[in-house]
Amino acid sequence: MSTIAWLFDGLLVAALLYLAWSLLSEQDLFKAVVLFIAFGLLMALSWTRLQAPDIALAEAVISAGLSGVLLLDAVGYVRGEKRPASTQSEAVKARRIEPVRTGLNLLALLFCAALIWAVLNLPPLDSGLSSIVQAQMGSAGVTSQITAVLLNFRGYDTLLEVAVLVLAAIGCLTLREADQSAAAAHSREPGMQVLDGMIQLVIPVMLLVSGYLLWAGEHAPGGAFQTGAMLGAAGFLLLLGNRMHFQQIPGWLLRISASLGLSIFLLVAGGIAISGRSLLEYPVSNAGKLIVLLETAISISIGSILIILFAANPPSASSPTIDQATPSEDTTEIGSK
Amino acid sequence: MTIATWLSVALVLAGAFFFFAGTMGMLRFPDVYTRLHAVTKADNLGLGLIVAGLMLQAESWPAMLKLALIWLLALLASATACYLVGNSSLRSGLPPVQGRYSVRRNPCRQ
Amino acid sequence: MDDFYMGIAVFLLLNILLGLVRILRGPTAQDRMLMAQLFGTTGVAIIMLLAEALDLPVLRDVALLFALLGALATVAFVKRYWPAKMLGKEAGK
Repeated sequence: MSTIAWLFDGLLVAALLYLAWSLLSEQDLFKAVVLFIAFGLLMALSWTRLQAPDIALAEAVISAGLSGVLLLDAVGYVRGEKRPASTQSEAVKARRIEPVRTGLNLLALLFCAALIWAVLNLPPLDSGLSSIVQAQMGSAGVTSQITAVLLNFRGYDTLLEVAVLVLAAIGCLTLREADQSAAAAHSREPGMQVLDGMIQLVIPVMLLVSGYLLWAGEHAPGGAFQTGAMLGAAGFLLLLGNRMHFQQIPGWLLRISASLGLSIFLLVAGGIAISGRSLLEYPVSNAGKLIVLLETAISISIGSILIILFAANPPSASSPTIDQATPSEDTTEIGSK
Repeated sequence: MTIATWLSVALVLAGAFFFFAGTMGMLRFPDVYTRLHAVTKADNLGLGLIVAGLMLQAESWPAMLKLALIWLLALLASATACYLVGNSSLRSGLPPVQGRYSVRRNPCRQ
Repeated sequence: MDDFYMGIAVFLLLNILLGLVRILRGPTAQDRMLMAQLFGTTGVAIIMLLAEALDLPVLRDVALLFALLGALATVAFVKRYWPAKMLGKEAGK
């Protein structure tokens, strides 16, 4: 590897470590959230540098879009609250818990050292299981190795992951407060025409790119999870721009779209079990079609689950941070800094 | 090294220069409103020049069009973000920093 | 040529790291949010340069996704984090 590549990697690693440290030790929650968004973007850069396009695609959507939006929404609820300060002011308490904290720090450092030792001792050119996967690609039904592993060879893991997502969506929906009349007052805020224009231009492209990612998953980096994340991000944009109103989505549509992936996956698994094969062993001639069907259903599910996770708990009328017109702490910061 | 390669190198270098200009502006300008210009305009021009340089090295017409599309989408996103941040800052009453050449300090120069 | 693209990518990465200064120091929240925007735009440039340097054109899809979602965090900032102040102002008018 050339020196320039070493320089790039070294800078990236140093930046990641510094960002991780500073965002964890930051007192101001909003600053920590912005640092986290930056950290996610650098992670996507790292995956790109490591030539892992599937993970880089997923990380790009999740870090640049989804987690940033969710965290900003959350930190909007807790405006003005600082993270609890370190216990230096409480001398007695600090003295009491110090050995525990030191012990835990040492344990974490030991674990880190063990991981580094393990990585350094890996055989240098070991291809892992990729040769075995390569040998089985004839019966996979798709040409992308990653999609074959995710949806064919290890389909059981994906099934359970989708089940976990559906459970998360159900949990979020049950926490939703009954009356959301305050959130339903969609007054046209002044100056949002630019946002409307951008949404009109960008959402069709997002949908097109989602379809492209779904189709590309067969033979290239892409697939169900990236598509679902992109659909979720499109939903976030619509919700933020007041073009989609969560309360007006009919309940049956929510339920069907959220559970579509899991139900179709279970139907396929049941059908295969009835025909006497082992768990999720697709018939070779139909493997491709089944995988396309599963990917479509899973991406629709993931998209709607993400929308549910974001929109199911809008600020209620009694939320204290929205009602109070707090004195602007940031305009006073200009004078002090 | 063909003409196309030299042209690519020149365009990418120009793009990197504009990125640097944007970073310098972001570090040295006095307040949010001026930093907006640096971050969204200069950086996007740098991105456009880099994209133009890479388009000359692309392997096919669809690849070139994809690069151009990426630049257009980045433009759209930056423009919207710039407007939204500026608008929300103005509406929440963030005062812009008045400098040496502002009208308030030099009332005859309208 | 690969080294040249990688070198420009290193330069852009240094630019990003200078942006960290603005996140940590920037007096207002808008300054910090603007840096997230900077990271997005510069990230698009770095990924496209890496796609050329590593000779892996499929990485341009990652840049496409970055560019598409560039404004999403800023939109969330303006609509969800900031409106508390705006609502206060609008109610006062």
